Amino acid sequence: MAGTVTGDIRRDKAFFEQRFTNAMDFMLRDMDLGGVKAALLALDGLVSKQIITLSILNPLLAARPPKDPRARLSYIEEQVLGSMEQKRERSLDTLLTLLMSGFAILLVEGCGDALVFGVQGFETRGPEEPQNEVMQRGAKDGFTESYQNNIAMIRRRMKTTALKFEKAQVGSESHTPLALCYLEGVASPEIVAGVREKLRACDLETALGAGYLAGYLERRGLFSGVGQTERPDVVCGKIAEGRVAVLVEGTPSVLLVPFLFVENFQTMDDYLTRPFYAAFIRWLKYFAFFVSAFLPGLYVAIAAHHPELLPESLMLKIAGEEMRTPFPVFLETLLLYFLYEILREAGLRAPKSLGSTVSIVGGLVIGETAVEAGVVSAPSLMTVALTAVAGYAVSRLYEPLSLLRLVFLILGGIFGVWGVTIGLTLVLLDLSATGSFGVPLLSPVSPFRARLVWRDVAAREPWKQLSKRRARVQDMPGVEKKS
Amino acid sequence: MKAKPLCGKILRRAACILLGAALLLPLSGCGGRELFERLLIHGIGVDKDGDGVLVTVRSSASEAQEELFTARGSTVLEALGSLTLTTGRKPFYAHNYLVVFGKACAADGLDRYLDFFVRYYSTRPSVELFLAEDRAQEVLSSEKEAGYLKMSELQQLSESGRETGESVGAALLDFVNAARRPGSDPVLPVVRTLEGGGVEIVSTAYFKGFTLQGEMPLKETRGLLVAQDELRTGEAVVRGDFGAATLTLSAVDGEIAYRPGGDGPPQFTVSIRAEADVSAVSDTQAVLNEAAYRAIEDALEAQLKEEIEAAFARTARRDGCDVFGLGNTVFREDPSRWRTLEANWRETLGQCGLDIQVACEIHRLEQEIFGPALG
Amino acid sequence: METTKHTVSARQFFVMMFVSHAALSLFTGSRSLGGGNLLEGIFSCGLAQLVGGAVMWPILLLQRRCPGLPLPQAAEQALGKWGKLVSAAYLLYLAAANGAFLGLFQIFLQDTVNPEFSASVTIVLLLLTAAYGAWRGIECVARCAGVVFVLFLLGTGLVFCITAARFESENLRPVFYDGWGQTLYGAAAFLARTSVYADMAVLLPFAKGVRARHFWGWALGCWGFIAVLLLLLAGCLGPYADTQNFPVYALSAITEVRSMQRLDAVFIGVWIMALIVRMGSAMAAGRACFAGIFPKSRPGVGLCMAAALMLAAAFATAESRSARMFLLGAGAHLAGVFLCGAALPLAVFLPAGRQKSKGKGGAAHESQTPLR
Repeated sequence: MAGTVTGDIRRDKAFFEQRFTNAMDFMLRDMDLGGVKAALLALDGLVSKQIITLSILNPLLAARPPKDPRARLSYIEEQVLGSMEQKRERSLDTLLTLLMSGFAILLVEGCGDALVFGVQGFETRGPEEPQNEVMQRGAKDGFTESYQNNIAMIRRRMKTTALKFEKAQVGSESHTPLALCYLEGVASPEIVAGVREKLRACDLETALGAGYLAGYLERRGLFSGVGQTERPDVVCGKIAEGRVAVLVEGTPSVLLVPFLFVENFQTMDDYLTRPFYAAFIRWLKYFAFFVSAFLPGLYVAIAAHHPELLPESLMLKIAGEEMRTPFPVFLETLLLYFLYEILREAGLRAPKSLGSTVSIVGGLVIGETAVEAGVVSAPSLMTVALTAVAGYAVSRLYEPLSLLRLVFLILGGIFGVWGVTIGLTLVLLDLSATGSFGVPLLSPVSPFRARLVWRDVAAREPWKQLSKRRARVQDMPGVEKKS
Repeated sequence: MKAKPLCGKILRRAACILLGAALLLPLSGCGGRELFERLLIHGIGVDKDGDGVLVTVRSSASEAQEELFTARGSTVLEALGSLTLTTGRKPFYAHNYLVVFGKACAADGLDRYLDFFVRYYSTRPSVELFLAEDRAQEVLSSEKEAGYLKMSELQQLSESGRETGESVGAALLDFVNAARRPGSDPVLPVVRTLEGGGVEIVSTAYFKGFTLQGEMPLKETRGLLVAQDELRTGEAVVRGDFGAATLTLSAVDGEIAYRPGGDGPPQFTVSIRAEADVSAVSDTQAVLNEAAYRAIEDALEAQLKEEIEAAFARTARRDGCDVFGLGNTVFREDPSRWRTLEANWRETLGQCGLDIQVACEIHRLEQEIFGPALG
Repeated sequence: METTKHTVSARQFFVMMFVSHAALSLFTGSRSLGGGNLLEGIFSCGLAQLVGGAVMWPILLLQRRCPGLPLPQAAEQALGKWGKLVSAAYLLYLAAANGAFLGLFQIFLQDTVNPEFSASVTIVLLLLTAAYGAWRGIECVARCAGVVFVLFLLGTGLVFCITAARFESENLRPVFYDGWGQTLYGAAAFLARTSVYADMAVLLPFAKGVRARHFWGWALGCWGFIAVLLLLLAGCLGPYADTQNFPVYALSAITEVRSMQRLDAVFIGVWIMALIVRMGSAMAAGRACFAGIFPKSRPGVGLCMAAALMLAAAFATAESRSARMFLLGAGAHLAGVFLCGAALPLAVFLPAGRQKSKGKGGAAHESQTPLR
């Protein structure tokens, strides 16, 4: 605990100078305000020097504060300076945090408080369409690294006083500010309290991204009970259903809780297209998920253990291909799977100039040449390729899918279709046991509620029906009602 | 947050280690057998060979590669199992299309030879059965166009036979059921090889239980199919004053009704209703007027009735084989009566009355569309 | 912010019970029904469900008398130290009955399907998966059962619809042709296989809003499913079914859609899911019983004990002829059903009734036998 502002400007200045020794971005401007010593502190790069000069320095230098130290700060605050965001602060720890958050601090001789001004001027990226959530019909703006800008984007879309932004902070070193966003009267007070409590219990030293906090908001499990999005329209839609959004400074991703499993298949475009098309696309995604998760495992299981399931002509084709290749189908598929993951990661991390090289090497050299050389078989390669492509239809589930594919591949290779079935049941059990802030992850599929499943899972009702009754997340089946 | 007890952590870790070990155990055999390491059988022939059997097997290692193997053994399974010694591959029966039995096996009683296909875990109940005119080995080793006849083509034969309405199709399931049902006997299509290559269906074999009793020609087979309401389609040529007319049968419904017959043997009524189209007439100048149509209908009715009567006379009256399932009809509709007839049913069958009523309708398209013909 | 009480709705509970009971229909056949006329099995099943209603009656009475109170605690309250014997009896019966069916499934895998991988390791994996579900709680198993229920109906529905094309009325035999003997024997056989009454006795307190109509809905649903199955077995397989040890599997083996043949592997997969639900609910019940015997034990110990007993019974059934004869015998199972389904709940209900009239016991505690 560093204590409070003393009013002795030399001492107070010395405190800050000592803290920012060897920090070349630390700026300190001494002033004489009609015989009263003052000092303006700021960190270069975080503040707008133009605003400081126009709004603070110029008016201050023309000011003649009263001799009485008690009236000095009030005079400056109310009659001299004209910035929108200014307040008094006494605690030195808080002043340090504010300084490092882009605030400027004015110390005045004889005053036990400092004046703090919000004059942030650091460079931020303009809102661009998020690369990970491309929509055909939705808005083209996405969140940026500044949570203040993000708050503004949400506020612009939800013009209601029920929209609340509660300030919080995590990280003992980073002091990362964050905001809890929800609609009062719509969000469950228990859920909001729960989020608050979990964030308070977060013992991170640094929080450099929203993903750091996700682990504190969910239970361990294969599928996450915390959603992430970079789209303001999605956040608005979710908080209107009673969810709580967590905006974190320094990251364009916003966390959403509670997050249900079926939401992984929902996108903004579903709500902007005709209902029948939205339903079709939804089912396509369900199918893509199953193809991506199960195809490699089932292919290996059927080829190795249950060839009776294959039509004869396909079976003979696969047999002919297997004869040419040196590896068993299980090892071959495993090899191709890892090769694909390496290629995917390389494509993601490689510099743009090398992107085409990676594509050529991956596609032509490894794909075509390996098959022609008889190192791998075409059916195995096709299976892995189809799996990969299908996975991108449900990009939110990519991480668990990568693991699931591998697990099902191994189970299918060892125990055939039944191994895959046992694996599927294990995943179902894990999903059934997991909840997100008291809401079962599989809701409303299990526990089942026909109206909710028809509303926005099996199909997407037209907006005339959707708008009639709001489906809040805390009203999902399986949520224990506290009396 | 409450700290998890240490015991729980230890238990969880122990469970993970056990699970991992359990999964590792079968890894030595992981991946199963490769497809090309299996003998992918799609046709089996069984012939009596002294006291044992000779099996002929058709398989494919790949799409272009057809193989033929023979093996001997005291039982079918033993013979098939010995194929592993000659081929080095484990037989895979799940894609076996068909089984052809030699005539000697049928005369001996097919139940001995069928047991493997019924009981073994990976054989299919829906596999098609055929009877060879002589030896199954000849049928399976028959060649066509500088290669072996494809088993899929042989399987197609039973399908195409159904299209002409002159041959039966019998899956293993159907054959066993027909043999084991009270008051019922099975039938099988009989195939023979052709001189120029390929095979053809020549007749229908009928059985008493599992033992071959005789064969009926294809025309009588149609009579059987019509009576059992199993005729899907077919061609019929009828002759009369109008010349020779080729008819395409479309909707054919057959029904066998049971009448107790008092103290005497049961009486049955076979009611057939058929529709047909005139596909060709030998005298192309002939105008098909109403009288001609009626004559064609009468001729078709007479022909169908004759075929049914001939089939019944041969199988039931002469040989005591209940391929029409008349006894089964009594069993289901009059169980108490069946109890009295069961013991001597084969003798009683020949005395049963069979009243055949056939009603045929030829589609008169010209008249329906353009109006009745003048004159 | 997790839920403090782990309960399931009556609908979820009986869906779980339906899946558990339907899982055993794989073993339905003329040999288990005591005769070749599968149509009579429909009447047998109906009769068994009616008698089952009588078996269930003491369980429902006990629940009405002591709402929300798990059976082990109710037994302890009503019978004192002797109550632990009730819990022990349930634990042993649940382990023996379910272990025996698991062993039968292993025999089915080895003899009828004959996979190239180890059937016993498959069983172990199945049991471990079920144990995981039981470990996570009865809610977990019930929710999973909801999804498995849909998959099960879809899978069996697909098989039924495809095989129905092969239905032949000539395969049907007149019912009661050989008298009532097969029907009565079949009813006893069906009742003997309904070990879920013991599950219900232990797990019913964890279900909310259970009424008699839920039970009869379950009974009707099970009977309907078995009836359709038997009808198809009789009409599609006919006398061929008598030649098979597991005719339901043979029915799936004739499922063909164009070039997709032999869907039985998928069929067995769906059945495995149902078996996992069954074993999961049985293990959850076993765990509750173990906690009734040793209240201070950790939940994991009870679960491990239940799983170990089940596995032992399964391996004994699969490997030992004498164990198989005993554990799969209809007599032993029937005795177990009446003991755990009717007699023991009645034995607990009567003293509990007297105590309640004296103003003691009968209410649920805050710290109930945990299922999570």
